[in-house]
Amino acid sequence: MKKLTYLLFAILAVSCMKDEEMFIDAPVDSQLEILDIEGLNISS
Amino acid sequence: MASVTDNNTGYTYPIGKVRGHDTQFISQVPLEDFDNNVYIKVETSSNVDATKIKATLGKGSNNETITTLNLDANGEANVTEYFNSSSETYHITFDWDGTEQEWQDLKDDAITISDAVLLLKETGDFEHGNAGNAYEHPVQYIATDFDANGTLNNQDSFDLLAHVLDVADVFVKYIEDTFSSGFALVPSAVYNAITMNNWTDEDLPDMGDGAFSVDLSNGDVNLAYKSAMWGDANLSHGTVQDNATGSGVTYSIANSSPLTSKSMTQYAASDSTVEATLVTEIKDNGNVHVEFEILSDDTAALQLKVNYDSSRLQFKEVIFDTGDTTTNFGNSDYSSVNMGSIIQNGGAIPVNSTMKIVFEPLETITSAAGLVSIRNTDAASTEGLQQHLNIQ
Repeated sequence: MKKLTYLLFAILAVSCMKDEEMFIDAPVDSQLEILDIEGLNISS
Repeated sequence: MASVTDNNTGYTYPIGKVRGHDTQFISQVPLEDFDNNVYIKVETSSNVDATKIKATLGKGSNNETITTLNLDANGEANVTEYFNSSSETYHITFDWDGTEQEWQDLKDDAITISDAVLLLKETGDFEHGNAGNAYEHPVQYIATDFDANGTLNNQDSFDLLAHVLDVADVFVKYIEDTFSSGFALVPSAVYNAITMNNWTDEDLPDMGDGAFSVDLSNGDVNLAYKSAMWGDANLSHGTVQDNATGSGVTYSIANSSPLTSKSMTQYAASDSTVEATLVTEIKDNGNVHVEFEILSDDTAALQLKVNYDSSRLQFKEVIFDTGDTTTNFGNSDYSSVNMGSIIQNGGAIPVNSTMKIVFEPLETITSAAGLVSIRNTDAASTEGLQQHLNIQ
């Protein structure tokens, strides 16, 4: 369940790096999972 | 005027007569007796305007171009006059004959939130169950395995979602942003025979140079093709695999083994709808509010792309009221807003959820008419099936 949230946050991070205007309003959850998105590591 | 050329020299006479040598003869080799027709039949989704696709016919080992023609609205063309030998080899290449904007529109229509949801379900990143079983056809895996590694994983989910959210284009990132790269037109016999093993083993059928021959002695020849589009997970702009094949056509590849690890049933495209209202109004401070309200109770994801008159309006914000468990997203460029919601707890976006776009006026506005328009929409049910928006 948490993967979608972190996929979206990863997208937001990429968007910020590209200086694009984007927002994501995602429910916060304490269960973190490690995702490796093209070197963009989002981990607990 | 007469012109005569012997073995060495040419002669031109203002006035003259040409007489044949008494041993001269003329031979004629008749073409094959062929009373039938040759058709190109490209099976495309009704969502694709087939008249924007052009086919170039070639023949011989050098692929000498014979002609280029457009398909009709049914994806067909009668090409009988260009095929005159069963021993000749022919080629067909397809390309886009629409504008770049029309190609972009096709991509925008084809790859939307319902595709992202279906892939998220397939990879287990979306808590609505059915992980590993959301897809029904091998071509769906191939179309969304962006890094072509034989598995669908977080990276593929990320890429498709990022594409839908206008952050990264999966065409630009992985292939080329062209019709010939992103829209596969494959002979039906080959398309139908693509297997899961072809994908997982990274061993897709090798079409060689695409040369084929036709049998002109056995009735009409149908050059049948099917289509799939890069990133189009739900095949909304592609065709399903089945056992239908072209007739009278011989390709220089071996037939693949039949599908074994996935069923070959007709893809269960949904015709369900999302009921919604859309109200555009000018508020007291002159801001223009566009409010979208969901009235259905089985929608898990929804996306709207709204164009606005940038000469009169400036995007300010989007205000979501979609409950505590819904993830909302949005972005805006100079003249459009891309926004949507995905719920990830297995349920549906709550009934009466709203999304409100607020624009600031660049001039005094007295009427909201014509200021905004919905460019396209897409939604997915809690089952992951595509839904169509019905604005009341």
